[in-house]
Amino acid sequence: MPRIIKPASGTFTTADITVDSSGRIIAASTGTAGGGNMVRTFNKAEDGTTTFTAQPGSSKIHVYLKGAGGGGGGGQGGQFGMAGGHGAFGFFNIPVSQPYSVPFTLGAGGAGGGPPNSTGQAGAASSFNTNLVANGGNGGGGTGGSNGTPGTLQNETYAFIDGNTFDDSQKKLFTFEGMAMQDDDVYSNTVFQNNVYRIGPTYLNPGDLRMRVGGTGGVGGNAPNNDYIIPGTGSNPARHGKPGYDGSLVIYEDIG
Amino acid sequence: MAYLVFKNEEGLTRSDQTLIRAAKTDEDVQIIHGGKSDTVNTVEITDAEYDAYLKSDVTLTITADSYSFENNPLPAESDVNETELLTKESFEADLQEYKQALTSVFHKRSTHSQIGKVTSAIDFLTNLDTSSISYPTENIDNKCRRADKYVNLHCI
Repeated sequence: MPRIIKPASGTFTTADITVDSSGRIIAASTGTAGGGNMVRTFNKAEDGTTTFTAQPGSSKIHVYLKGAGGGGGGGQGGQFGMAGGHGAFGFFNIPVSQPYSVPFTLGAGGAGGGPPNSTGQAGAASSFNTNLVANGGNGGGGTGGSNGTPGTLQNETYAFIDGNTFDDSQKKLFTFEGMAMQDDDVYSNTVFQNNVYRIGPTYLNPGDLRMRVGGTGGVGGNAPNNDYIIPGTGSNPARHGKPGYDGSLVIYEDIG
Repeated sequence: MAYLVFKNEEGLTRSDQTLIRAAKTDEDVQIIHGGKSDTVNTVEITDAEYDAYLKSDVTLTITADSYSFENNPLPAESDVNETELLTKESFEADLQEYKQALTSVFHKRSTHSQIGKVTSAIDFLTNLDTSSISYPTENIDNKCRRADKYVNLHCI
């Protein structure tokens, strides 16, 4: 009995097809799309509380969340205060059901410690939805004290900074796309020695200061450079520590 | 009733390095944690202690999970140690940095209970005629305290 094959006319997307033993398509229908590529859809690096709403076609989001940095400690007698701790920094893989709209908070960076020798403030925690938390870094001590301990994570998929020692968190400091922004004039034009070359205890090249990273601990306060010391007075005034940076958030969704 | 607001992490004790900031009201505390109250723990202080700390009339010491405020008298301008005096350039740089910090707070925490004091301090700094000051001079903190315009950023 010869088999009658009907033509399968029409347009199908992400088609499910059936092919017979002769290589002919004998059935076709519109199928279900697979997971899309991840596309960055959201970023923010300023403290406050608001709501994130996923794109309508999203079934999964990747969240990079960072707590706020602690403030640097105040200087004394021409010596630096200590650096504030970095905010905890983690990656969270989250399947979502539509519609998906959740609150999030980005912590405020800690203020710097006053001169002479005061401790900087701790950074506040960043949180996403009800259970994902990146705590802020501790404040840096005054001159002769200790650097601030970085914050810890809760419920992360992968931890970049999670209560590491300060030195370890420096090695793992991750300038992820969207986590950094152009520095502002206050920091790039500061007149005091070393501030513009320094994040934490590490001296950097001037060009590195084009970027500032959300959740980074503040630099300890220092003394003015020699050009600003009053000749013949022994002047060596202490300075405030720098504030930590606010927490930050970057989100990717599978809509590509 | 005002508060000292600390980080709340497992195994962490209260110390000056885990203090986030002082807050005057429950709403000010809410600004800090954004609705996730389990990220902080608080210690009650009196309104008078908060007000004095805001103006830097006292300093705060936290040791072994306890706190104390100590008087922080403002020295007469003539008594400021000469090693702490600033050139015009240094003073103006400090002024701009402090003003920028206050302006940032003003924009980001407009509902804070002490926002009126922040506005008043910004106005004072904006109108301060640095060309009329004799240099070297004391730091901007002292200048603001003398005019009763100082706002401690650890309280906002």
